[in-house]
Amino acid sequence: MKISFDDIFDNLSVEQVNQICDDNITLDIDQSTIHSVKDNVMRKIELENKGNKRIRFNVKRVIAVVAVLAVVLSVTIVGAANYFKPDNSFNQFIELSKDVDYSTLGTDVDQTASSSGLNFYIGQVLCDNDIMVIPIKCPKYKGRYVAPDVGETNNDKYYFDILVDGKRDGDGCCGKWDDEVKYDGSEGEDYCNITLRGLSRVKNNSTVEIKFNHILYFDLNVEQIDDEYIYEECGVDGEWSFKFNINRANVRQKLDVKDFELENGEKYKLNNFVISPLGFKCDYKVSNWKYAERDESSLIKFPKHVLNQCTLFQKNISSSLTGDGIMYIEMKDGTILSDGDHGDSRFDLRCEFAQEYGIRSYGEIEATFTQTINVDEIKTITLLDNVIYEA
Amino acid sequence: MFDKGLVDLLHKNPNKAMSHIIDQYTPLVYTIVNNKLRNICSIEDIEEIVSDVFVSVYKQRDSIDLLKGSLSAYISRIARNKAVDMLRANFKHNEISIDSDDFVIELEDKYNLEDSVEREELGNKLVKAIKDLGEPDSTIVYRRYYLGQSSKEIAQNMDLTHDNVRQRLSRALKKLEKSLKGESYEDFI
Repeated sequence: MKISFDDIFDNLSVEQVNQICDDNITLDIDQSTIHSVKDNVMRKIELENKGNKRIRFNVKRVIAVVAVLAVVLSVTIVGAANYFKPDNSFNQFIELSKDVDYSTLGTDVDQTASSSGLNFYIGQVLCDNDIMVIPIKCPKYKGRYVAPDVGETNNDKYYFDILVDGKRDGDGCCGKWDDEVKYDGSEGEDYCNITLRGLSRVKNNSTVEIKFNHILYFDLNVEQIDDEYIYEECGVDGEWSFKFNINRANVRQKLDVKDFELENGEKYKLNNFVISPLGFKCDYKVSNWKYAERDESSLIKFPKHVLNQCTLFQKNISSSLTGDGIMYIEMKDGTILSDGDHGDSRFDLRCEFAQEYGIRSYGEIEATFTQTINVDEIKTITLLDNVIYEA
Repeated sequence: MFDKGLVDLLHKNPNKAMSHIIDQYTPLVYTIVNNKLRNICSIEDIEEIVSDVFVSVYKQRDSIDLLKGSLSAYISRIARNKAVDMLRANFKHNEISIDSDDFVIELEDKYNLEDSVEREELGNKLVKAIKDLGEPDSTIVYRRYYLGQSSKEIAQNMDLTHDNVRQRLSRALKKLEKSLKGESYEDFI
């Protein structure tokens, strides 16, 4: 019979746990979590102590109360739906579809950070609880646009900090995030955009702080391959900071996706596929994956450490070079989004893959859309030619 | 505050005791619950389950016997049980599949885990085998399989390299497997 260690650990008695637990282990946790848990527990204990009480309702009074609540609730919902409207600061970085409810994604920030005579401005941000899109309106210095140095110069005295609820990447409380900065420096446009992902602990009313002390000239050099940005020192330092609360962030939906098997025998099991208008994330486990042979006839010669990965990972890497695409999202109106070149809209897809003990392996798939989508309008999702979701 | 003091306070002034217990043990409970459920539950759900663990501690306060185990052992066991209950409620199948990223061993069919005595016997074997590993391997196994920490987290917390942790874990698992099967590890090295 097969049994897992987890099962054995799950069934240990108090005496047995006592023999292996180590009281000297220090575990870190955010103090706000402890306070939140304490409030919740003490409230539940108080309710527990009060016991069950029978409350008699006057039926007419109940109907009247329900009617009033219904009116209040409908006004609140309408108010909430009208509360946030995205402005055109997002236009250069993400196409905002008309049939998406942004009231659950958007926060009005309306803050200016001033230092050294230069003002940066954040009007609005979009956030589900993993991805945050932050357009920053940038000033001109000596006739040219400048933008925050997010690490381009690699100088220890310069910082670009983003903290969520007081924690930054590496503290373990916000997850690990990647920042991607896009800057459109063409004439008349003055925004740079920072897109963060991996903010798995951003929640409703989380506090976000952005601080930087160095800025650079950013110029879009169209002669460079892949629109590579070049930057130039402008010689100005300062202390710029923003601090704001995210209104609503829990907008990700979980979709029931199917497992699939490839022709080469690799079996994929997908878990926790969560999606919002801004992107999606999914865990996967793969078994029966095999080391690939190098295709000597191919113009693309992958290094060995790439070949020794599962098909999903390899195809994701090659897709970024060939534009073939491995994932397609078909909407009910016929629009197709893909990580490749053959859809109506392209999204950034990244597949990570890790092996442990060679027994079974796992990874994560994540995508950031370049066009927001109405999740309810998804018709099918296809991955490596397998339909994993059908509405 | 030491366990005896806390348990005494639980009987005399339960609310005050719970406040201390929550301060002291939320990191442990949160770690166990979060590492078990982070793939299926939201942060709010996880905090709710963590809260339910402490409410259970409050409700079971009269049955806590420090001769059986420390408060840490009691609380971590309740935390694990609550997390497993939630996990089982969310998974349709209980059989071992590639759903589990856990280490799987094959035992003789003589074990009947429905039987509480045999379950306890298997638990005793595992606990003894873990203790026999010695440090730091026994702590690494506890952190990995009871607290659910990743190899990377363990490496950071124990000031070891990631590779070192993974190698130690790999060797430790082989030893534990042999112990549970009743074989001697030395026969196989």
